[in-house]
Amino acid sequence: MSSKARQLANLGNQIDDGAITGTNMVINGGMTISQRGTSFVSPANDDFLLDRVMYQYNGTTARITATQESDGVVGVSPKSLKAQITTAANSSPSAADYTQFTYNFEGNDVGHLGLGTSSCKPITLSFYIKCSTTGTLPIGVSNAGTRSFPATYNVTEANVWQRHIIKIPPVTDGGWGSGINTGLGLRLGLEYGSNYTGGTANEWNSISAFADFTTTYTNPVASTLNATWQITGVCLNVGDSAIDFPHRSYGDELARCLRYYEVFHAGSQTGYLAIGNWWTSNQARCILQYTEKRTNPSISASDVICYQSGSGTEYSLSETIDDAHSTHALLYGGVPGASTTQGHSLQMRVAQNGSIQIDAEL
Amino acid sequence: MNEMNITLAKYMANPNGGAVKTVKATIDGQELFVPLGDLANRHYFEIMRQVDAGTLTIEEAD
Repeated sequence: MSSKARQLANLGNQIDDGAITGTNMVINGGMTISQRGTSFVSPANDDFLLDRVMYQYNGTTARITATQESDGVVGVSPKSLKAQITTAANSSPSAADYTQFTYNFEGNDVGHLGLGTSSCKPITLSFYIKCSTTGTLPIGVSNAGTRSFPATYNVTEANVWQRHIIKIPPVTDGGWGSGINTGLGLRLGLEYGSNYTGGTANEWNSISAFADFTTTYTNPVASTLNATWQITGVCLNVGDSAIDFPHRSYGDELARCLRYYEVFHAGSQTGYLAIGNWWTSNQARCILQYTEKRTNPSISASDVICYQSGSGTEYSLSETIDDAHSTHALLYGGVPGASTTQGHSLQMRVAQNGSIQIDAEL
Repeated sequence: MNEMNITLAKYMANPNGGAVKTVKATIDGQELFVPLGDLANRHYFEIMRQVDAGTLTIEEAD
């Protein structure tokens, strides 16, 4: 048992590192927010899974099913992200192969670290992993491809939550994104080919286009059929020690996620979008408003219907989006077969299987 | 280490008759309306990267 003096000293250090004032720079580190769904069968490269978490692969035969699980860590989060290997990778991946989960920090959220300057602050990454296979697994913390901090964490016992802490010293050179651009990237890999694993662990490396951005590892999770890898409680804080994972309310966490992605869907009922009008006798328009995004978003739209009051007629819209701004866009389209009165208002709705997805992810 | 698979990119005519503001693109199998000129938008950034690399051409609007 540590002495009271030691406990107080540790507490003081945690306060210095942001345990009271601040803060976890990771959004949705507790894996509680799942706007895109809770199960992702064989997701494609670049698909986002739970909010802010992107899945990427190249070359490999490995495929996963990812799920949000109600299996978390008491005192940390009730939820987690789980990946199960449904098609195994080659036990010796080709040089360019990889399977990884990526989290990109917005420059606005890491600008206070002074990355790339002589006054840069140390940071500490911590997370909980439960994995069905043992051994070391690789991570890389990097900028846009010229500086990287490779490290590994060691799964010493299968199928048990274990906390891993990685202390990252200041980085005093390199170009780092700012403002609404990516300021820092975190990659947690299930496998990497030799193009990526030549980095020197636990120090900042100069790299080119992500070559050797991480380091060697021993855990065969990606090449083990039905193996599982599960994560929650991801935290990045300023300072040279890990703070306890800070709890945020569900609403606070969701609000942060909405800056990057938002979806309108109807679920079991028809979802109301906006009041529109007949721009012409067979073209409908409305202004689509949403939570302010990081930047002008890309938008997809499907199964939007126009409901004409009075007649009670529903028309399918041939959806088009134009002039997307950070808070609003024009949703319009032709309505085949419609012959209505120009200027009359109508309800714009999303049908049961439709959605509007507004994407300003990094 | 993140190259999107873009199978279609096409300018969309401005419905009000002004300057074109949107590219309709099929990216990793999803149809997206991507705002023009915003390099902080990762889809637009990647479209322009592939255009500059000569591997993608944006079709003219109808």
